[in-house]
Order: sequence, then C-alpha cells, then structure tokens
Amino acid sequence: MRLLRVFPILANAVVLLSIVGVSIATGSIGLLLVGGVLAALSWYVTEGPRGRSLPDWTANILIVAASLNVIVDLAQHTDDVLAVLSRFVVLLTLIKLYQHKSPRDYAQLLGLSMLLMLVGSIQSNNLLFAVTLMLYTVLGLYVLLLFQLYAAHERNRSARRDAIPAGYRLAPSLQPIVGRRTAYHLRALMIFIAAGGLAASAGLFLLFPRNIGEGLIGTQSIGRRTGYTDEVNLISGTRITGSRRVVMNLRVTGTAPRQLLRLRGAVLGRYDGNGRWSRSAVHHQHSIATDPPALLSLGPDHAGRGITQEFEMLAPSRTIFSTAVPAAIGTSERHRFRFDRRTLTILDAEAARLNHYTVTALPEPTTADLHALLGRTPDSSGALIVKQFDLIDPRVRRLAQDLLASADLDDRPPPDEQRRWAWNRAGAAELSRYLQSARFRYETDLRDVRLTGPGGSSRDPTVQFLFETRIGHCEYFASALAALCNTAGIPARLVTGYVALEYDERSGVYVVRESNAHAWVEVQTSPYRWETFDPTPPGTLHNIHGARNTRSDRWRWVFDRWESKWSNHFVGFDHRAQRRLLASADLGWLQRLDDALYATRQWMDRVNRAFYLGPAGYIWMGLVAGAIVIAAIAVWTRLRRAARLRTTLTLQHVGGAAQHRMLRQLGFYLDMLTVFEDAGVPKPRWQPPLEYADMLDREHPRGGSIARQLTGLFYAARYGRRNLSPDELARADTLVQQLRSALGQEKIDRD
Amino acid sequence: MNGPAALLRRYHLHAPGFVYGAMTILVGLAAVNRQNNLLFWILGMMLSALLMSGLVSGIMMQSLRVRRLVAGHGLVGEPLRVRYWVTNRSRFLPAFALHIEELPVDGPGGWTRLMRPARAWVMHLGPRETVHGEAVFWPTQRGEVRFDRVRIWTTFPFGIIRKSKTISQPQHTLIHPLLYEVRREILRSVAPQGLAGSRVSRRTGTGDDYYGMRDFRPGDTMRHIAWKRSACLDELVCLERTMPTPPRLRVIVNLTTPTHRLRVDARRETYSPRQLEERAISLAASIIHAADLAGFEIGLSLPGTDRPAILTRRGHWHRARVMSSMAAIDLDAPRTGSGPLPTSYGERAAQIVIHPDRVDPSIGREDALHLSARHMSRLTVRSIGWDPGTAPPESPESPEFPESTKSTKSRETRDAAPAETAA
Repeated sequence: MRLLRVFPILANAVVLLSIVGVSIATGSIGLLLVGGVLAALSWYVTEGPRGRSLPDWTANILIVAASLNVIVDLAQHTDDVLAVLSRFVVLLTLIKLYQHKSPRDYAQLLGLSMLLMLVGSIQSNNLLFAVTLMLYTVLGLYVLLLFQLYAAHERNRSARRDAIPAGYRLAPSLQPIVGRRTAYHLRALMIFIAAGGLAASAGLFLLFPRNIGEGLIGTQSIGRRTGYTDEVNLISGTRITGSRRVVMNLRVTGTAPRQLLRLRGAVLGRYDGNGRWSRSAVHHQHSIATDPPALLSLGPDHAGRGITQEFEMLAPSRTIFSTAVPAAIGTSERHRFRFDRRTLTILDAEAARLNHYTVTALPEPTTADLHALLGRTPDSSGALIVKQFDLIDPRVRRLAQDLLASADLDDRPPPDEQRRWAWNRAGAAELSRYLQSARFRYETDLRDVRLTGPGGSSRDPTVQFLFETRIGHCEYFASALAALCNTAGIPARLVTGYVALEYDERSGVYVVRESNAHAWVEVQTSPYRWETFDPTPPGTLHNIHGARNTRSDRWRWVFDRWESKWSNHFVGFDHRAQRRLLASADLGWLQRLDDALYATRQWMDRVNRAFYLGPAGYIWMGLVAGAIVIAAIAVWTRLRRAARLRTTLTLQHVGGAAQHRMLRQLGFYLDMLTVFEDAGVPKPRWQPPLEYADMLDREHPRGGSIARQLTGLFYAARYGRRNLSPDELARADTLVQQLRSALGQEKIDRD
Repeated sequence: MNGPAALLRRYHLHAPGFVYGAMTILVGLAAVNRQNNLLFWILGMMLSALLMSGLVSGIMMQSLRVRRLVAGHGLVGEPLRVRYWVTNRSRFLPAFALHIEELPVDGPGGWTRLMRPARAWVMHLGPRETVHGEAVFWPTQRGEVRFDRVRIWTTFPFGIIRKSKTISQPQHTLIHPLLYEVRREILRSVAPQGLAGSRVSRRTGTGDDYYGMRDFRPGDTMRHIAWKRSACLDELVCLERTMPTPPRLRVIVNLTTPTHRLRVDARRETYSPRQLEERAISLAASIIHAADLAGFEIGLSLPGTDRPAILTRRGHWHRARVMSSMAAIDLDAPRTGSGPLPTSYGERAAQIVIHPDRVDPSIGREDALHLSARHMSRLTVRSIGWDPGTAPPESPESPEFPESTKSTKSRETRDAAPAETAA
C-alpha cells in the first residue's frame, strides 16, 4: 500500500529536519554539515540498490563509544551541557539511521528526533529555528499518524505470519483491511487534528500564566539572553556572540547622527576573584514610578537640555539602557523602577518587561546635576576589588605601578584631592593605552585558548590574560583595566551594555544587535563623576560593531523585519502583553484567575523574602504544597472509602464505637466485592452475603472458596461483633490478593 | 447469532503515554523556569496533542459498531477465521488502526483453553462504511469454544492513549477433531467389492439393474423405451431401473471405559490415557471423513457417552452433524457404560469399532472391524491439516495393518492387507 511504503521516506525526512533544526539552534555549521550529510546518505546506504545496514553488534559498539564520548565531552564542556547533549543525540540518531529499522527502531528514531527539537528549543528561540520547528511539526504530525498505521500493520502482519504453523501451505491473507479513499481520509484527519491542535495550543500559549516559577532551577531565561548580561563570567564566557539578531532600535535626538554611543546597562563593582564581576550591594537603590505621559525626572532639571533616547526593545530586558547619565524616564503606561544612585542606572522593578521607553540623558552633567542625582557624596568603592586582586596575584599591582612610573606618573595616589582626580584620569589613560598596544590581541572566540588550568601561574582569568595568554575579548580587556586601575589606587568599575554604531538612514534609528554587546570601564575622575575608558583597541571596536555591508547584509533587512516581528510579538509576549490581551478580550474569569496567580506569586515572593530562603525557597514551598495536596487526596480517599463501606455494608445504624471498628476492619470485604464486580459478578443489593458466597462457590469455582472464607470473617466481625485479630486481618488481606490473582484481575486490567 | 449487549468504554494510559506525560511535565518545567515562549508554545502543542488524541479516539470509538461473525465449526489443524463486522456510523470522521480481540473466557469451554489468542486489525474505516476484520485462530484441541466479550481498541492518532470499547456477545462454536488421511485398506476391508452394485435399493433411480416397467411419459428418452415389450403391447412402455445405494458404515467409538482405567504402558508409550481417547476420536473422525469422500453413508455411535447414536445418512449437513457430535464429546463427564446399541444392530451397515486402548469384542457386531487408537500411526498416513500434537509419520512407510480385528472377515483383510500395500 502506497501510504505504508511512503512512511520510511518521510520518517527519514523528519529525522533529517530535526538534525538541521538542532544545528540551527546551536549555531553549529559543523553539526549541520556532518550530521545532515550522514543522515541524508543513510537512506541511500540502507534502502538503496545495495541496501546494507549496520549489524546490531556494530551499532551497539558505536553506541557505547558515543556514550563514552559524551562523558569526555561533558568533562570538557561543563558550561554547555545542552550542546553536548545535542551532539550525543545526533550521534545516536545517526547510528539508528544506519541500522535495520523495525517499527520499534522507527519509534526510537522519531523519539530521538523529538528530543533533538526539544533540546533545540531550550537553546534557541530565533526565527529560523522556529520556522524549522513549524515545518517539523507539520511533517512530524503526518509521519506520526503514518507511523501508527505502519507499526500496527507490521506487528499484526508478523504476528499473523508467526502464528502460521510450519509447513502449512495455505497462509491467511496478510494484507491490511481498508475502506475507500484511505489517503484522502488520513490527510483530512491530519488537517483536522492540526487545526484543532493549533487552536488549542494557541489558546494555551496565550493563557498560560507567565512569570511564575521563573529561574527556579537557577538558569537564566533564554528569552533575555541578548549577548548582554548584568554580570560577567570570564571562565564560562569564552565566546562573544556573533548573533545579528536585533535587540533594540534606538532613536536619538539632540546629538549628531552616526556617532558611536555606549549604552550603559549594568555597572559591576564587585569581583569575586574567580573571573566573575557582579553588581555591588543594592542598598543605594530607591523606587520610582512613572506617571504617563509626563517624563519622570530623576532629580536634575532636564527641560530643554540633554539628549532624548527612544528605545524600542525587540528583546525586552530588565535593564534600562542610557547612553549617558539619565535625567528622566518616561513610559507609555505607569511603571515602577529602581534607581541606583551609586551607579546612576535604572532597573525595571516589575516582573513584566518594557517594550518601549524614553530616557533623557545628560552627556555633560554639571556638578549640580550630579548632586541632584546622587543626593550625597558617594564613597570610592575600589577597596574590595583592590583586596581581591592583591590576594590573587601581587604582580598586577607591580605591573600597574611600573606602567605608571614609565609614564612619569606617581605610582601611588597623590594625597591632594585635586591632583588625585587628574592622576586618576592620566593613570587610567596610560593603563588603557598599554592594553590597546600590540601586546594584546582581540579574539571573540577563546575556546581554543587555555584560560584556566594547572599549567598556568594563576587560575584567575584576568591575571592569565595580563601575563600569559594576552588574548581576549572586550570583557577581558575591561576586566584587566579595572584590575590594573584598582590595584594602582584608581577607583574603577566595569560597565556592560551595548555599542550603537549601525545607523539606519531610512528610519533614522540606531539598530542594536546582540553582537553589539560590549564591556568597558568607568573611572572616578571627581567626587561625582565617573569617566568612560574603553581599553578595547578602537580599530577592532569599529570593525566588530560597525554596520556590515556585504551582499548578504544588503538583503538581510527582509529577514530582520520578520525576525523583528517574531521577537516583538512572540518572543516578547510576556505577562504585561498577556494582561493587555485579557483586558481587551474582557474575559472576567480569566482576569480573576490571572490576578489570583499574580497574587500567589507576590505572596510567595513575600514569604520567600521574609524567611530569607533564596531561590530554593520556591522549591520548598512547592514541596510543602505538594505534600498538602497529597495529604488532602489521601484524606479524601479515606473518607470516600469509609462512606462506601457504610453504604455497602449498611453500617448507618450501627453505634459509634462499633461502627468505627467495622470501618477499620471490614475493608477486605469491600475489596472482595470490588474484585468480583470487576470480574463481572457483582453482588446484588438484595442478596445476603452468605447466599452470595454460596452462589459464587457454585458458579465461580476459581474464587468461590476464597469468597466463602472471607465471608466467614466478615460474618464474625459484622454480625458476631467480634474484634478481628491482626492475624485474621492479615489473612484476609492475603485472601483478597489470592482472589485477585485467581480471577486474573491483573490480566484483565492489562488487556 | 446473538447481538452484542453490554458496553464498556475506557481510556488506558499505557507506557508511551506515561513517557509522553513525563516529557510534557519536563517541558513545562523548562518553560516556566526559562520563560521561553517557544517552550511555552511547545508545551501548548504537547498538551493539545494529548487533548486531540483523547478527543479524536473518543469520537472515533463512540461511532463504531462491532459484531462477531463466527463460523459454525472449526477444525483442529485448520485456521478458524473469526470475522468481525465493523461499522463506522460517523458521518465525517474516519477510523484508523482498529485492533479487535477476544477477552479471555474463564471456565469450561473458554476459547483460551483450545486456541492461542489472535487479533483482527482494520487499518482504515471511512465514514458510513462497513468492513469485515478477520482474526485467524489456530485451534489445538477439539471441543466446544465459547466466546464472550470482544474488545476493539486503538491508539490512533498519537499512540499516547489507548481507547477501548468492550461489547459482550456470548457465542459458541465447535472445533471438530483433527483429521488424518487414513489408509485405503480400512475402507476396503469393510466394502471389499467396491461401490458399484454393492447394494441395490428398492427405489427407482439411475442405476443399471432392472426395477420394473411403466407407461411412456412425455420427456422420456428413447433409451428408456422397452421396444420389444412396446411392440407386444402396441403402446410405448418404458423400463425403470433401480437406484444404486452407497455402502453404509457405522463407526462406533468405544468410550465406555473411564479415562483413568485405560491402560498405558508408561515405559513404551509417551501419550497419556486422555490422549489415547482423543486419538480414538480423531481416528473415528478421519475414517468418517474418508468414508464420506468415498461415497459411504455414515452413522455414528458413541457408547459410554450421553450422545445419541446418529443414523446412517449422506450429505454435507449430515457429515457436519456427525463431526459436531464428536466435537462435543465431554470426556470429563461420567461414563454411562456399554449398553445396547439399538440403531446400530438393526441396520445393514458395516461397522468399525474404535477403542482407545484395547479391543473390547463385546462392542459392535461380530463382523465389525475393531481398531485401536494405539495403532494410529499404522492406520493413518498423515494429518490433513496442521497437527498441534505428535503428528503421525508423513510417509506411508509402515505397511503393517493392525491386528486388533476379531471377525473372520477382518482376519481375511488382515492377511490380505500387507500384500495389497506392498503391491
């Protein structure tokens, strides 16, 4: 039958598509070329003119080898478990593709392909992968339906063939029994299922509560992984993303176009000595809320001054970006923020992400402006970092002092405050020039550079960068400058954000992509002012972040437009968008449900904060909630059984203590009745127990004798008012088990 | 045929369903943890697949009607085809991948005692269509087979949920004994002259012997006109001839001895007393089959059982009746002992008496041919169908004829048989 013949071809196509999908998700061209070509070749090798398959023993050896390989791979790439898993599953899939394929093998292949797409969707949510996933879903649905027919046909055929005795000449027919227009009906049913499934999945997608349980397992959300992060990990961050995905469109007024803009995101003042930079303490933050349509001033008078930045976020983030010191912020709806006076950065205080906001910034703030922003004189916060670097390696301090001395600068901060600010600026410039020299090389991919290990003089990646490898990307350069400055006594902090350099003439906006993520350093040059120093070589910076003008880039806007829509409407669909949708749909109960879920989350947050439980607190609360649910189910089950016992054994008129005793002890009789009911011999309500047992003994010899014994025990407890001993109760339970097996209850259930 | 009665619809969550459920939970956790909308979408698809699976298979099963069509009888060694009439009453929704199976029947006569399970499979059934599914059973023993509940189930469309529908349709059929190709000498020994002219009936027919004269009737052929007599009488008269009647054979299976009293030499014989009895029945059925093919009228007596004797007759229906009578023998029932055989002594038919172990000359007439089931391998050539037990030798290499005969006629046959076989 043609439908069944076409199944293996389509199954191979689905598997091939899943390999392509996971290659797109992981961005691995090697995986695509090797895996895709091998998968495509497998059809010719196994089903072609020669038709050779891998013997089982060879396949088993290969599977064992792949399993060993994954262990080694995991040990080498502990930070990229999903990529390792993808490679492993692709290997398994390829081995299975080259084997002889029974229905069971096809089931395993389809399962592996689904696993591949799942792993891919955990790793990526870009448009290309989503398109592949959509194709996979449609084709996979048809293949899955075909598989049900194919597998059932093959199994039934082989079962019927195996049942034919050896030597019997007239074999029964092995052809499938079908009605008319099978293929047409199958396709029509597939369309029906696809339409229904699509509608249901769209509904579930729109209504599924967002922002509940986020980050429970401590993994960062993939939807906000934009290349920019609010902490820097030099050990795991060996690659700077080259993704051309648009993160935001930025319209700037009040400044010259095409000027390089550094969009400040997170200011990281804490170094933990293991290559990790993070935010300082948060006690300088205070809450603010916008009141649309007016801009909310952060302190200074910004009217008619500064530059206005309109952000259209295509990959929403909790960080509010600004190219200079922010003076005011505006949103289209009322929104709460936290303003960090110490770093002059704004954070989103609500769970929902902002898609549009406006920030007015002051590129040249006066002292009065800064005083209005800061509120008080901040302290210099280099002490902690100096201590860390001194503890890590004293060579850093020596190098900084040598460099300052070679530039005829004091090797220690001058005691005079005015001279010290100038010394800070000159010293930072000198150290920055040292890092921009030819001694150091900029690389975006450091996987081949051994950054940590027993062979090096230090395990700290910054120290290794300064004294051994001298190869790194912007985060290494910035980290090294901050280390040198701080050990020399110059307060410095690391800043992460984006570089806006690609200006779109037609729309008049800066296009900021994931690959524009950048890190630089801010050095304190006055009590209120932190000046920007970028140690990344300027030429490299322009090469990497500038607009590309290759042939493919010229046509890329077509894809970018779709990706923008995808990111904005699908990837960026969050709690706020969901609430807006519910409000527009005016579904009261859904709104109430959503409010209840939101309130639950808030309550969980409060409890978590009150007990200082941290991220594990949600797990504990989940466990407690689960235990309560299980206990409630157990109680409900027990009460229901007691009620059933009362009704079945007519215990309503029995007195309190006696009734409790019978409820405790006569469960076995109820179980016996259930077993017989399942076996198709229910006890009529009018029939006395003894008569029922007699009837069973006569008509159901396999269980009748056991029923008689159980009825005897029941009589003793129910009508003899005798308290059954534990031995008797245990015996009753054993008899019920025997009865169950005698009547083949398990077998019937299994059937 | 009884119509289907009680109905039970159930959803079963089997192993693939559990795996799918676990994967859905994992995807849900990942989506919640990562807040990745693509994962939320996949979670939605997985849940909707679950929903659609239950919905489609539920509607599909709801509109199906099943009825068992079981043959009047089966035969050990031959496939028993049980057909299922399946109708889809839905106007729009087709049904796919339908499995139909019999649920076990406990107690005596349950089909599981005599046959291994088999399953019918219907790949596709369009809206408002009817097809016949077929399950092929291979009976291993003769006897009465009872069917009760039929279950039709499917895991379509995704294999996640198994939806079943059980109907109760009690039915029974008979499995006839295993047939062997018996040696020709057996029938020759009871009808040594051959069929032609062996007996002449008192009725007119198409034979060769003279019966009488009658007046010419329009339509009579010229060959029937008695020309000399017509010339004498000066009117056309016709000859009437007798009707040839086939030879008659009564097969008597001696089951008067209870099973436990049958003598079996455990050192030399590998079969049990019950197997001896089954062999005796099978041998009787084989002789009846061969006699029927050879044109005999057949009768059957089963002394020792409560089955009534069957008169000698011919025809398909009669043969089925005889075989069914043997199929329905309950060897566990108490034996009635050897009583008189009223129908067998009054008729003019050759007799073959088959004994499970030793020959008992008191059964049957004096000139009856007595055979023992112990010599089954020498009496038969090969099994006609598939032999589920120990099959007799396939090639007729054992020319020796059994010596369990009693009458003179039988002794003659015994003496003559080796020569015939050798020839």
